[in-house]
Amino acid sequence: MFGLYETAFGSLTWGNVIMFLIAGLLIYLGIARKMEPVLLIPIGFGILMVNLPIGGLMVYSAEGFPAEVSSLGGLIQAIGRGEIGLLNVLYTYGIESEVIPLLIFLGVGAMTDFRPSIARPISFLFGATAQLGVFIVFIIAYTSGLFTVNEAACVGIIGGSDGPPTVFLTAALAPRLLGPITLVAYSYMALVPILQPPVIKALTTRKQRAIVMKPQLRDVSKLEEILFPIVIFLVAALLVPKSVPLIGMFMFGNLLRVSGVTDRLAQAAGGVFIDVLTFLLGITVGALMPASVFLTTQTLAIIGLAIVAFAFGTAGGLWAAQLANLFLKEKINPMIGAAGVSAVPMSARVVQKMGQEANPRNFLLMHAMGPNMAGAVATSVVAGILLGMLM
Amino acid sequence: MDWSLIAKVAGGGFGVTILVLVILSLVAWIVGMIVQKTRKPAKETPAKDK
Repeated sequence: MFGLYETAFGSLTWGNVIMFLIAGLLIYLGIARKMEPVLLIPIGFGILMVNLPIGGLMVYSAEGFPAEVSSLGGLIQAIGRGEIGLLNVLYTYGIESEVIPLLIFLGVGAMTDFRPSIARPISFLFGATAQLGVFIVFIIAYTSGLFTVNEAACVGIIGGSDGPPTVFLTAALAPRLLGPITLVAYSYMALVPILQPPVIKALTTRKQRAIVMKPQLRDVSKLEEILFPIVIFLVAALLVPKSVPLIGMFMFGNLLRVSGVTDRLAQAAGGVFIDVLTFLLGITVGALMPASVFLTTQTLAIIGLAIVAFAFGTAGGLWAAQLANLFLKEKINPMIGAAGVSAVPMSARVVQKMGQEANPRNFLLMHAMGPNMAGAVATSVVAGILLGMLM
Repeated sequence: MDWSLIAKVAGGGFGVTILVLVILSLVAWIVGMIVQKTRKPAKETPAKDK
């Protein structure tokens, strides 16, 4: 500027401008349409920050990876010299180290009510079959030749529609794709009310959707609630050791909630604690999307494949419920299987709404919450299995 | 294209997922059943004649 210092205008690229528009769209969707605002607004602003040339909040290497934070000791000097920025520090110590997604899962556990899953344990089966989308999309992504096997697994896990396991797995297996995968995962979770109904309608008859289920589930005692997170954690940890960080944090958070003596801790974990971590995650994920990384055919493929993942996930849950009905004396509404794709509580609400449309006497929300919660457990198990196989 | 890897990850992964979740479902069901059986039924207090 007037020969005194360098402005950023000269360094702007068309890619940066396109990313500004994408950031603007995300911020608009968050504010005006209230679509996952706690994530889309920080992600949008993070994209703005990283695409402003010379800003230095997130510095990238020539290969397109965030510049490495070598040691805590040299941190201040490295920031001073412009070798790394504040967001590099948040990325390295918050996301690359897996700390933020795991602590967010602790908060999610503290907000989760597992009673519907405990009252109807078959819910776990629907949660499992709803992971079909993860594996179908893994096959498509890998055979397309656009992704390595590790990247394909991370694209697939979007179909589990659970944020923390997606971030956890991608940070471990394909950190270069963390930005687009996280963005697509959270955006599509907000779009569940649009994505699921056509699939459900295509795979069920009106008669099936109208099946009435008793409005009340059985009572779950306090002892069952307390034993559930402990026993499930122990068994899952023994069967899939790589899922321990995710299931452990999830169940620990839940134990804080149900123990009856740690209400303050549970409220803290599910309140300000998770809020702070969520915006740190959002802004850092946004900063992982410079134009050079985001504007690629891989990103477009991820956007398309995520729809396939959600569709097959919904179908997997539905088919399992329809199969179960062949053997059950008291028929269940097969739509509750579709809630196994997690996306708590949106997919359960979709089932409730569609159930009421088919039969106004139908109240499926509590029935759908069981597979919904089981889906969250299932996605953590899947992340652990994929880590065990591919790391 | 490594088809054996695809079969291992997709087929094996999905199969193991189902197996693990079936086990978790059984565990949750067994724990629930044991707790319900061991819960003492509330004692009925005989109505007192006044």
